[in-house]
Amino acid sequence: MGSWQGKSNLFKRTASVQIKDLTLRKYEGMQASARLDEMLRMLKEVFGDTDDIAIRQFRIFGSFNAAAVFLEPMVDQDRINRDILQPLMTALKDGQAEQLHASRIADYALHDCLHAADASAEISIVPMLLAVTSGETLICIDGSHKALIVNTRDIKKRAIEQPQTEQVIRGPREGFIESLDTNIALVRSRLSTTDLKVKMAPIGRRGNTNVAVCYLSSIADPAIVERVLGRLAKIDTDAILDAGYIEQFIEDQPFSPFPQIQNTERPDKTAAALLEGRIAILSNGSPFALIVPCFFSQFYQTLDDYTERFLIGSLIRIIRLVALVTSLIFPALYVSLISFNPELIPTDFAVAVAGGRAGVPFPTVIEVLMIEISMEILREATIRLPQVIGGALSIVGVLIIGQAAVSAGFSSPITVVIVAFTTIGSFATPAYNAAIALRMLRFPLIILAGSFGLFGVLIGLLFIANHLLAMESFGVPYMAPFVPGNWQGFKDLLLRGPIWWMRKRPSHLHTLDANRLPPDAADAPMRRTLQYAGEEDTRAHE
Amino acid sequence: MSDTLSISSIRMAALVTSANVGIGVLTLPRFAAVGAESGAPLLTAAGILCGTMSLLLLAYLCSRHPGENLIFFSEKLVGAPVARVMNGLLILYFLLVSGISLRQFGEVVVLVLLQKTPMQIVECMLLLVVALSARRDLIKFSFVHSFYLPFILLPGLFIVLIATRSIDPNNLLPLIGNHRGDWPNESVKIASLSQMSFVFCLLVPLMKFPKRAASSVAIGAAVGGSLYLLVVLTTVGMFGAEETKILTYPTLETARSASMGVGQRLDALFLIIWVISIYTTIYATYYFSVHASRDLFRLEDHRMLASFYMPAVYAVSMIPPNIHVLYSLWDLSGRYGFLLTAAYPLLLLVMSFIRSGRRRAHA
Repeated sequence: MGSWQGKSNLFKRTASVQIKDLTLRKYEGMQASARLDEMLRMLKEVFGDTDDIAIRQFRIFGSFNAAAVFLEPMVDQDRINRDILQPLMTALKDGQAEQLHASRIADYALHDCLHAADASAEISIVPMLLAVTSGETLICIDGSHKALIVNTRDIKKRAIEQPQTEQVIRGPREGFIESLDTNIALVRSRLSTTDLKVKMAPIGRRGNTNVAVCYLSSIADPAIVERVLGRLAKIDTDAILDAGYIEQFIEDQPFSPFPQIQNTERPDKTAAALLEGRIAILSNGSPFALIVPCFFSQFYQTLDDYTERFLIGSLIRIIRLVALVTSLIFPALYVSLISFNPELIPTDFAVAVAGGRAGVPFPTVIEVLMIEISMEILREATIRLPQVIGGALSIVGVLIIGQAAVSAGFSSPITVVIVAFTTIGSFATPAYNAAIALRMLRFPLIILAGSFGLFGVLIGLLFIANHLLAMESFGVPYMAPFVPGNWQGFKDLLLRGPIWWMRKRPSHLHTLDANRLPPDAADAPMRRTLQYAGEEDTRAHE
Repeated sequence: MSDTLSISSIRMAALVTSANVGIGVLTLPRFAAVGAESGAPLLTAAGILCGTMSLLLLAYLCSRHPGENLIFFSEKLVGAPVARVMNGLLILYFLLVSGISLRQFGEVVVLVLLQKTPMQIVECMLLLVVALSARRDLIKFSFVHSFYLPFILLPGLFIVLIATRSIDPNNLLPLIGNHRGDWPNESVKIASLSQMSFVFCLLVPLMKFPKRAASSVAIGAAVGGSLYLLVVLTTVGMFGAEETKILTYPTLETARSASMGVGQRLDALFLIIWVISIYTTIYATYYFSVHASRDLFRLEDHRMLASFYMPAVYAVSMIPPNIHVLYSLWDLSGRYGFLLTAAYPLLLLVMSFIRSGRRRAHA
């Protein structure tokens, strides 16, 4: 399978491979012994303190001593019995065994006897050890320098379900699971093309977690692919327990609150990203795919925008954008209007606000901060609670505490309305990590609003906007296609243009093949629009 | 990576507009009314034309030297000692402009938005945002300007549109004013507002097509100038020249009266959005000083300078003891500044012609 260093270097046409584990370093470059007892001694030295190792000695074809080594919990023992032991232990016809030389036995077994699809012969020690730890079965044969490795891995995995965090009303219901092979299959089944390249290698000294980089070779920019491989090669850690670990190792600005890599549980979203010229990173044990490079606009787009007709899609997207902006600035605006510029509020409403605030002992900024913080506590608590009582608690929290806070003179009813509206608005953002970034930035804005009013809010927004404008994701401007502007990109920014109208892939990704549709793709739909009902069906209306 | 390494013509135009529209929006009608009474719109048009011409001159000069920015090619054209002195003067001038703009900004915010907050704090906050964003490179600088442009133009147009119904055409007659004012002098004062986008001379070498610099600048200056003209037209048309003369911030009054028609006082909201245009303007002048100094002193990086100039700009903003001194200083710096920013490029252009003529003669 190779290493990321190797893959990245291969892309640059040079080669060097590196091994990091200490035990593995000890055996680096060593070749297997032809003597079975020596091999077994070595294996016992490495796996000596491991009680779940199984070494099954047997005789191949009734005449050659051999041993099968595997980790019991990780393998399918039925398959070992059926596909390895049974064919190998069947005695050959008289005379055939004598003709075979011990040194050729491994090749004979591999090519003529074993009924396993994923099997290979190996002469170096290190790949043998790695194979055993990843659930494969190692077969050492006395008198042969080669050992056989057969994939017998059987790790329990859950069924493919609808992703909990990215539900859609209309669209596929499949989501990624924790098994890398299944996830790649889910993507491949959507893109049956030879263009889809999957580069796999392990990351982590101790985890050896398989990580796959997928891209479409005829679309993705080779410079970006190279950059991704290069950054992956530099990761030196114990193990990758989730794709989130990779994200933090390779992102451009680790100190920014904003996510610079999109993650998704949806294979269809991954396939769409690949078609736009992006690159997907999948890791074993994680149901999330990372998608790079990414724009800020991706965080408020959903699959629903594209599966529904474009007018509806655009409308929903605008609503979502309003919710996104609301979740950032609404409480800050409220605080600055109440404390600094009440003249901007219509008079009748200002009277109502003043009436509601009568008896509240705190300044507005303290009041809003308190309610906001208690709202965040409730939100966090609801995630941790078991689902059965989570719903009940959120009702208790929102209704009872809110109501009680108002009647206790703790806060004004309008504050509760504002905070509740903001929180709901932040849940309308499809990307959890982007939503939480904006939700946290709300607090400094509230404090600025409390001290400097509208001016403070604006200064805060300038800070945030300037930060966003300066960011890049793998060399691509983060605010694209808004700034730097691009007309084709505008079709899929605030509105979602008709699908036959978005002819180009995002230009800032520098795709090798810029055209998504033929130049005349919009002709047929437009002609139908102009001629009502369409040329070919005119008779049907007569 | 074309979009992170080069600047398109449209972005260049956006930059010029957003840098030009700024501090003058609130006070320009007063200056114009003082200068030419009911001839204010015509005077403004003359001033803007004058400013645009000087910018075009500079843009043409820069497009003749697409490989380098002004700081470098000026040294080749007029010799290092002269060029360095002149470039140093430019840097000082724009530091001064940044300081005075900052002070004007502080005065307005303290007058309208934050009556109880010390002006120094307001100024420091804006200066901090400017200095932090001045640490970015030229491309990101152009991103910032094109991003904020809609937020600058749309509210201005909105106010103008609402205000149009209160315009009394009689206020704008006679077209050339009642007295013979000092038109050349006054129009130069207005022309100096266009010089805020002088910084584009540093960005021309990064353009995708440096030859189009002049057309970009022309479009940008025209858009910004039209907004100024509309503002003067509506304000003077609404209040009359004599009334406009005595209003400190006539445009603010326009916004206030216009929004009364909607039924709500929106002048604070207008002012908030005006802060964005101030920010982009001060950002442009400050960034010129920072970046030009980097090239003048042949430094590797401009980020240290971005923080280093902060106290200087703040000190300048503290010099005027009151608003009257502030505006007379602004007046003075505008006139002599325009002389510097228009005459120097003209000199360079003449030298550039002479040199290329000599080269052709030799060849």
